[in-house]
Amino acid sequence: MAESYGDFGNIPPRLDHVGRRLTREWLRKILVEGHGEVRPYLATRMPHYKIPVDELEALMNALEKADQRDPPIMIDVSGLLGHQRGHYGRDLMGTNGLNCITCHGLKGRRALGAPSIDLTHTVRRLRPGWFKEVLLEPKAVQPGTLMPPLFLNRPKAEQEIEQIWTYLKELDQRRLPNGLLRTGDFELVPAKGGKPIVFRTFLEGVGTHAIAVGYPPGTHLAFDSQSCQWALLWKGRFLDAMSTWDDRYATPAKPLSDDLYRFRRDKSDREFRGYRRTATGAPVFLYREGGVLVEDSIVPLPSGELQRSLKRGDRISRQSIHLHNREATFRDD
Amino acid sequence: MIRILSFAFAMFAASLAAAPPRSPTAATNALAEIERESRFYALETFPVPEGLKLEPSGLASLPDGRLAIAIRKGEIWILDKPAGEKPSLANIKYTRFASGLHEPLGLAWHSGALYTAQRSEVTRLRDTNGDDVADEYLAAAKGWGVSGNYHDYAYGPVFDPKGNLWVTLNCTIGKAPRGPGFNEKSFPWRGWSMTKPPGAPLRPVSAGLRSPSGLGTNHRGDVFATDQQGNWWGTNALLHLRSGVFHGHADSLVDCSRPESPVTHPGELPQGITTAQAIGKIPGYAPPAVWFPYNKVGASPCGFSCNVTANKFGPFENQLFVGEFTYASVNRVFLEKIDGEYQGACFRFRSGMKSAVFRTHFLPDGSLILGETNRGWNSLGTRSYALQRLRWTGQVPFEMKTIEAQPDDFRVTFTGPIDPATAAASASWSLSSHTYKYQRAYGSPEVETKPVPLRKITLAADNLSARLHCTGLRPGFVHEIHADGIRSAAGEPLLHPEGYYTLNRIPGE
Repeated sequence: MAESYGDFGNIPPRLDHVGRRLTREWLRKILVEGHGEVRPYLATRMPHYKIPVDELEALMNALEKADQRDPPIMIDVSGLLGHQRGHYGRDLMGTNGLNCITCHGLKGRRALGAPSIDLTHTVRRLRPGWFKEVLLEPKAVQPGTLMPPLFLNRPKAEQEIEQIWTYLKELDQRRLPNGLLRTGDFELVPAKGGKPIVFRTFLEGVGTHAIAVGYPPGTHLAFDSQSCQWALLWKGRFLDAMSTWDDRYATPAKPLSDDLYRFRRDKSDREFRGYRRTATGAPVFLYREGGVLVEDSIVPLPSGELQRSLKRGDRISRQSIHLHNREATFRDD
Repeated sequence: MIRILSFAFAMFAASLAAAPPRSPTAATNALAEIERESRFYALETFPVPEGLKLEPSGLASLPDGRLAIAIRKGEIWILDKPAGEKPSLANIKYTRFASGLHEPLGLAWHSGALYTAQRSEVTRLRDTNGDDVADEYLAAAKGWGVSGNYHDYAYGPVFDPKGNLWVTLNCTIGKAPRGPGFNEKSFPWRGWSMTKPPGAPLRPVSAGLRSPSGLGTNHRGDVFATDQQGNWWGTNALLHLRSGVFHGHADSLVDCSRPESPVTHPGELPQGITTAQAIGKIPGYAPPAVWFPYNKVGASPCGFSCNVTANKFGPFENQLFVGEFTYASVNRVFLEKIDGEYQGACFRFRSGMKSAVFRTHFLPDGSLILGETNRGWNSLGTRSYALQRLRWTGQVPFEMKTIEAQPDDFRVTFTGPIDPATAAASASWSLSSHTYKYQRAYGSPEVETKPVPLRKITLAADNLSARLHCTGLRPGFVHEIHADGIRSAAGEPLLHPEGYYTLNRIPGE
């Protein structure tokens, strides 16, 4: 893809201003360890140098001094100003904002278009003043750069740059920007040979008291802990947890499958008491019905068929599940 | 959260528009203040391994000294060494105790088990087979409605000294989503506090809450909640929860018609009045024990803890330390009882945390654990979540320790001896009082603000307190006391030169 960039795709970055561009940490890393993480498009690689520590420090001091800007660019990265919020920065970087991710990848995810420099390490790599300098006037500061002057004529450019910096600082804790975020980033996948996943959530088709159970063989269930009965069965993928784990708005989760079967519900009066997880991790739901404690579980047999175990007081019964016409019904074995 | 959320975060509700500092000078001043505060209260950060999204929503010490941490995505983790040496990934370890919970927003250890409030129930969790992973998730308390609106948070539980379990429920704020499977028609007890005595069912206690994301007890075992500015709340508040009272937010009143309700419907709520006027005018209305003036003392109070550390946390024994979301800080509350009702003062205490302070918890060694998370709302700081520890350095800051109401004056007690010359000078002090509109509309400016003239200043013989004799104290009003001119005997200014006293009642009136 280097061809998309002309010389920028072939020639290593210029060293102009490097003393005010890169942090000491990053300069050290490049000179001593070599590096290749941030410019995936570039084939040329920096050689490693064996520089004695004192010479390295002296070199960096000299670069810092030589590249000082007068006046220096001021940027506040304290996080103590009201506008410096990481999520604003995330919005700016995504497809509904300035669309930085068209050219810049993050956290191992490639840019949507031809990838330019990866921004994952920005706050460790760049000095904040340089970050602002280059964003405000990319072509003047880095002649020949393909970076467009995105902040030109944006009245809040300075604040927005601080917001992006805050987001990049919090990148390890926050969601990727829209555009890089993918369906499936939060998918719950029951591990083969592992324990089932028990996941309480608002769930479409079940309601606000749902407890979903994802079994590794690929048949999943949801129990309604309000009416205390099985509500839904589906085959295929289990659930995506993003709306439950990472959204303010708590949108109901949805089964990741169209192969859905509803259990017929009744209006019997039951009182939910909780669940226990057995040695295999399967939940056994507990509820009272007519004064009797019921233990209710559905687990996959080695054959892959599901079996329900129902214990009422001392009486244990087993049922199989019959699927027909999008409806699931229990049959006594 | 700037408000927290209504999320309870205040949880907050949608509002958010607090006004943390905006100018570069403000940032410099804020940094200087953090620097000053850190001499007295030192902050340490617990590293968190990559991949563990530790957004704390509940904190509880286990009998063996480990710390249980509920996190917002629905898990409980156990930190092996919350106290002691400076934490690093080499000397601490996190292990997962429970998973699959639905937005747990609190955590308590009580008679051999952990308890957490999920969206639809309080769950009691235990490990019964000794592998340090919960295998028993029993419903300990439930019965409130859950509409599916994201504001339907449940907070807690806390246990009072009698073993009663308490929860607070965010009001719905907005519509219940209608979707397949969402069949419930009514959602009782939203905006209420509820309690469950041992062996008895969960029952409603008080109405009128909005986003009561912080819940806790004081040193006497009485139960309080913080609530968030918004509709019906002119600013943020600390509320004393007790049976039969109406705290002020109207949405919850619909459930007064249920037979279990201990709250009598106050009838149509008057409009165009102040919160000071609401006292006595609205039957059953209980004003907050403390108002937190907006942006003066935070913009979104959350979890809080009472300092009963036998002075291991410095000179503020029995005071409440309140996590602040928007400002990523901690504020301080002193409470006293006047005619049987709580009221008191709030003060800024310590700023400069990495993210929104949502949960607080005192460890047995007297350090204060801070659970910080700002996802969904907003806070100062440069992390989206963090776990920190605040430790008293042993140096006593020069602060107003308490403000107490007297029949004719305020008694301000300091943490150390004052310089009598500056304390006796009326120019050192400045007092004013204000109230808020009591209204359905969102928030309120401070209204009816007036200076409070100082008639006389009397210093105690030990130079530890001053009595400020005032003219025109107004019951129901917040009284601001600024003491910028006061110096300690050693010549130091106050670390935080102002306090805010909620004068619901004037003693002896």
